[in-house]
Amino acid sequence: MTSIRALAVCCCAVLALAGCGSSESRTADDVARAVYNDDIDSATKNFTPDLAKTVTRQELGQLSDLMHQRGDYKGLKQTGTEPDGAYDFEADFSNGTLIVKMKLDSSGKVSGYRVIPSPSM
Amino acid sequence: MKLSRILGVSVIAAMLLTLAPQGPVSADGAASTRNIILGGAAAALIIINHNKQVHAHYAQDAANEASLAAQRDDAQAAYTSEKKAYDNEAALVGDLKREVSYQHDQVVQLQRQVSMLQPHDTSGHATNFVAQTTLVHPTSVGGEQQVAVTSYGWGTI
Repeated sequence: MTSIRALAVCCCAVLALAGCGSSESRTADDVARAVYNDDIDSATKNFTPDLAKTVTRQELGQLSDLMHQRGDYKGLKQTGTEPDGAYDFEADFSNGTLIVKMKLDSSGKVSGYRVIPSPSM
Repeated sequence: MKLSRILGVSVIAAMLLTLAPQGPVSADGAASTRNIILGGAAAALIIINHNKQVHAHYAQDAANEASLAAQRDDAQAAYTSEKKAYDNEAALVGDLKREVSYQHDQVVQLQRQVSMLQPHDTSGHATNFVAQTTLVHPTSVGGEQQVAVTSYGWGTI
């Protein structure tokens, strides 16, 4: 009985830690997955209205192709924050990485999202 | 001028001497002949010296004129050379202006071509899907280096 309780507590702790990712990271990950899947609605869901209007299916497809060239998407991790408020991430793929830079407005919506091929590629 | 005065005074003195009371004349033909010869020689010497001074003066004037002419020629040559150099510089400036104008036209043309290559949104405005973004790289000595890289996406960072 005691071991079951301990196991339940551990599971809760693991789940809590899993949910501790920053909202910026979650947003960046959501956008990256949506771009990878070529899903324009999901990709622009967190964008500001002005930014969402600039996204075209052709551009989304190009960016999705850029990601697929590096294999399967595995996730991303935050690597830094820039003085102007932009967040830096490294998106991990099975065959390489990409640099992701994202900027949020005051309401938490994405006002800028850019992907940079890793210099090592 | 000075010599003319001297000659004039000498002539007047000679004329006055003819008016002076004459002493007893002694006929000494040899002495007379000798005096005539000496007087002629003295006159010839005076004339020769005078001519020599005049010719020296003329030579000096000619030398001065030649020197001035040489200086004038040098100045003219220097002016011609400077003007030629200026003309060449002006031509070079003209060439450079034309080159800058040509390069400007090329830049404008290339910018137009790049703009045409960029994708446009539904309203016809060029998007910045492909853009230059600054990437900050850490250096080996602990500093940071900003590198311009090509990025793909939407909005500006």
